[in-house]
Amino acid sequence: MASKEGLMSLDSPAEKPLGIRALPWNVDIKGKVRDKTGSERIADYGAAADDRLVVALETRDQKALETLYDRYGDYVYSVCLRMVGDVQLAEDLTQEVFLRLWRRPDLYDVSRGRFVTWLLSVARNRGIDERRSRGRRFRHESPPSLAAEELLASAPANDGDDVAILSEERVVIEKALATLPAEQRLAIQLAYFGGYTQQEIAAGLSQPLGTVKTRIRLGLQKLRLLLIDQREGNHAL
Amino acid sequence: MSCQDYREELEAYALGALETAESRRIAAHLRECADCTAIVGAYQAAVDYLALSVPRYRASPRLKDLILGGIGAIRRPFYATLLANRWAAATAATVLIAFAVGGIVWATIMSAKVESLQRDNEALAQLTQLDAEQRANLLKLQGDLNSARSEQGRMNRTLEELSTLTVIALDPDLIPTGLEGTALAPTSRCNYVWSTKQSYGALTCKDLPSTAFSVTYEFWATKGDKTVPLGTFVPRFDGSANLLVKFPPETPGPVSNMWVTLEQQQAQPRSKPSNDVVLQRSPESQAAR
Repeated sequence: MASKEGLMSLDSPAEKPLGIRALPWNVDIKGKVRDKTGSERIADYGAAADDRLVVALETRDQKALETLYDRYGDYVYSVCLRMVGDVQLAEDLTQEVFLRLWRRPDLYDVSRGRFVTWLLSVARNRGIDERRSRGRRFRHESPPSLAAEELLASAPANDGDDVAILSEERVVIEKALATLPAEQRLAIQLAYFGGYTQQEIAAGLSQPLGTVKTRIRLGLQKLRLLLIDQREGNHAL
Repeated sequence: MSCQDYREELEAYALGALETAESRRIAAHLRECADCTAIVGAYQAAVDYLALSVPRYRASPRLKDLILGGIGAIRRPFYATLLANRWAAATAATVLIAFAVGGIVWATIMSAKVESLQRDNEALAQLTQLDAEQRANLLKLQGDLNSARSEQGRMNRTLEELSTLTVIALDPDLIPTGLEGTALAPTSRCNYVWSTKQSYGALTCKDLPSTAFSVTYEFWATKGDKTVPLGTFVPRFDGSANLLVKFPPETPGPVSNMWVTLEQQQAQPRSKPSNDVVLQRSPESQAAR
């Protein structure tokens, strides 16, 4: 049975990676989010930062959740759809992710990075759990060729700055992935979107375990170089 | 073990591709190694980007409703919005309570009225029943009274007749008068005895023809200068008939003639005889007179 201890999980926050957490100005020593503005309401939800909206969730601000869904609902749904390959199930998982965010907004670790990447990692972990609960059958991971592909839509009409930035980042990531050798990209995709361990990938691809480990190591090192090291300073995660 | 022993697995750890036991071993090391933790953080940042590589699909609009509905933020119906206003809710509650109290009071009053009406109805039914019984008894009493009155009238008439007959029988100056049938009843005969003092008389007839349903015999007399009706009668099945006569006291003068006619029945007394004379005084009676 594979472990997801290296991933964040809303279900088991104790499994979060043990990063050094700097305490931002709006987090007290008990980890409870304080609202610096006190009881002031958000005047313009559309312009409010993700972190501010997450803080507002602590006060059961439904409009804040609606705004976050408008920004990232499609992304969460897309990740879930990529993970489970079923439209209905992807909707269920998306609903679950946002309802958990509503119940436990304090699980968002500001020091971990941007809210959207944290939220998508939650969606991915939930998708992996779902795949495992349904039994895993190894298959070569590739972009889903399912009927939902027809649902591919143009960019939402309410694209804001954040969405535009995400679209740009997606292009960067696709380019970065495109630079990887196909076998490295496949191994990483199987691990990330399929939730498979190195042993399972090796067995599924009929490759030596060492070969799979090397592909993952080299591929991830290159992605880190392209996505983190070279872009450091441009986008702080 | 040195950090180098772990670093070959840090990429797979960040990607979540390690088996459980191996992942726990790395996690234990990270709790003690800040350098390795920083490296893992950088790899995890790269891994997090992978989620953004997924083609973007548009979620169904109903998904948003489901999520917002799940937290109670879905658009509420108008009455819920109305009730959210404290004053509106208080007003609505007051109105509802007023209606409820009014309804209860009204129902109580109407219930009492219905019970009262039911009691009155039962009493009325009893009274109606009593009234029917009393009415039947009253009708029976009336019937008995009428019968008694009729009997009394009949007995009075009998007593009057007996009194008249007694007066006639005891009168020493009785005058017998014979009546003979005319062409209408040639075989009929009547005898009339009468007392001039007491103004009483008795007529007895035989062989009278039967009459039609609405036709009677009527006895007439000429007293003074007036024609006086003395009484009506119908013959029995054998043609006989009797009539007691009492002359009206307001009619003075002697009796000069008497006869019997056929008359149509009528409610009012007749003052003038018809021309259908059935019996008239015999010549012998006139001569004796």
